[in-house]
Amino acid sequence: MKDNIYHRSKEEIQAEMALVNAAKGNPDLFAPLYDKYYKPVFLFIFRRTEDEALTADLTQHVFIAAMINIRRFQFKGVPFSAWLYRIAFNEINMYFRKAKRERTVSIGQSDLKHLCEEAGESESEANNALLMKALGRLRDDELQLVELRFFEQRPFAEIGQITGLTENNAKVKLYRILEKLKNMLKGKIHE
Amino acid sequence: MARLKTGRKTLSDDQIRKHKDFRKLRANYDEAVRPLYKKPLYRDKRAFLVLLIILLLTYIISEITSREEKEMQEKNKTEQRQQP
Repeated sequence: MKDNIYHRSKEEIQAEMALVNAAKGNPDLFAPLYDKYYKPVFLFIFRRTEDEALTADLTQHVFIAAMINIRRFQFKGVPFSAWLYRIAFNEINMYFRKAKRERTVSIGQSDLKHLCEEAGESESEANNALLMKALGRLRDDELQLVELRFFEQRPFAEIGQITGLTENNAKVKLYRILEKLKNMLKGKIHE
Repeated sequence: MARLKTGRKTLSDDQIRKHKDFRKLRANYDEAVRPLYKKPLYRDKRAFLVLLIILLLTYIISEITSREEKEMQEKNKTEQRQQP
């Protein structure tokens, strides 16, 4: 039977918790978690940096922080991966704040199509261009929520865990952002 | 602010795998959790430099004070000699 959160079965969650508990007692036993989550965490960071060397460096920081703080991790219905993404999310924000560099938001063609549909517009080159312009007017925290939900198709519970919001708060915020985008598209962007 | 761009860069599994190194992670973890007093001083460049500066300052201050003391003593001696 599948659990409704993140579509994982109870057995899968239990197996993961066994790995986490083992790693809490012995850092050498962190290796299976490292193997399992290295690629997803690497890609999560790479999507936001588009720099391979920087991504490798930040991924290393994420896993060191995870190893140091793993004793604090407690299962509260959110999988270990969301906890890792939260560390990665904070590392990325910290890096760009310190380096005073612009973060990259790379948007796939299918992401634009999906977002156009969500905003109640049909997909066309003109609408895509308008949408890109509207996205450029969003605040950074708003853009991060759009990225997590519409470009990465993450569930609200996971978005909440990553950004430090509650699931409901994440839903409300995203609804408002979508309304803001719709208004900008209808008024051909003014905000 | 973020820079928006269409189209995503992709990486192959091999490109990702070449950065994966648990041994390096384990060594960095050990380095991060090792207490400061267990780290040999000569290996930590920054601590070594700070200690060197402290020693240098102590030496300079002690030199200045001892020189001043000597000067004071000599001054006292010459004053005593000049007095009838």
